[in-house]
Amino acid sequence: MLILTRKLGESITIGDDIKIQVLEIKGKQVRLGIQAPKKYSIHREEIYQRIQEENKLAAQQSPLSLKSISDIWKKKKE
Amino acid sequence: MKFETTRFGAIEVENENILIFPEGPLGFPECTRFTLIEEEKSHPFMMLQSLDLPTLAFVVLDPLVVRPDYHFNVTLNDLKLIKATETENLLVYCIVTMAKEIKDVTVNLQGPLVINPGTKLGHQFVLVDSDYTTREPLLQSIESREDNGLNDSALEPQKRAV
Repeated sequence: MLILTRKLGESITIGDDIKIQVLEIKGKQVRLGIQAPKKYSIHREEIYQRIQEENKLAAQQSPLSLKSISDIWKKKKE
Repeated sequence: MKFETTRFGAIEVENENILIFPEGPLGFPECTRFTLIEEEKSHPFMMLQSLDLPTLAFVVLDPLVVRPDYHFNVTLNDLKLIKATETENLLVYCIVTMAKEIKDVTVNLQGPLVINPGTKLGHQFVLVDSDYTTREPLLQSIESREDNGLNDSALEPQKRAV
């Protein structure tokens, strides 16, 4: 991993079209401004990972049958 | 076309019922072809069966069933991924995470699957600035909804899991 030190207001560029600027430093939080072409989706990593992990969990075979949960659902709706 | 699946055995899927997720759901980039299997006995739950990985199937449901006010913003750029120009006819499904006990079953409202029925293209959206979480308790959503009539906006804050 490339590691760079930047001061408030300074930027880094990646390739020709991506720019990341340090906008604010407050205690343990850093606000970053990111300029990038729209074709790149930018996520906070933890949200992305959380959804990925949830998908993996959801993909496991369920000990509950779908019918049993559907039955409970229907009962609650009545 | 015929496909092998673990849960449903060999299934015949018409071309028009094959949904393509070009990037796959998050964590499953190699799984791009799916089909939606709906059975009366399992209503309102459906299975999103992978046609690339026989063992992979997600339990999904229409989020409006648990949250009648469910909504999120998309950009035109998001819509390009599924070759849509407007949101009107899009289908939205959320993945259900099953558990040993029904009370622990959750719905992922933060990573909805959006499908364009016109192009059969789908994509899992990531709601970045949203109060929805990946683990909204399913039964609690129904119960609170009953308590409040149909207005469940009041129960948003305490639902921030994680």
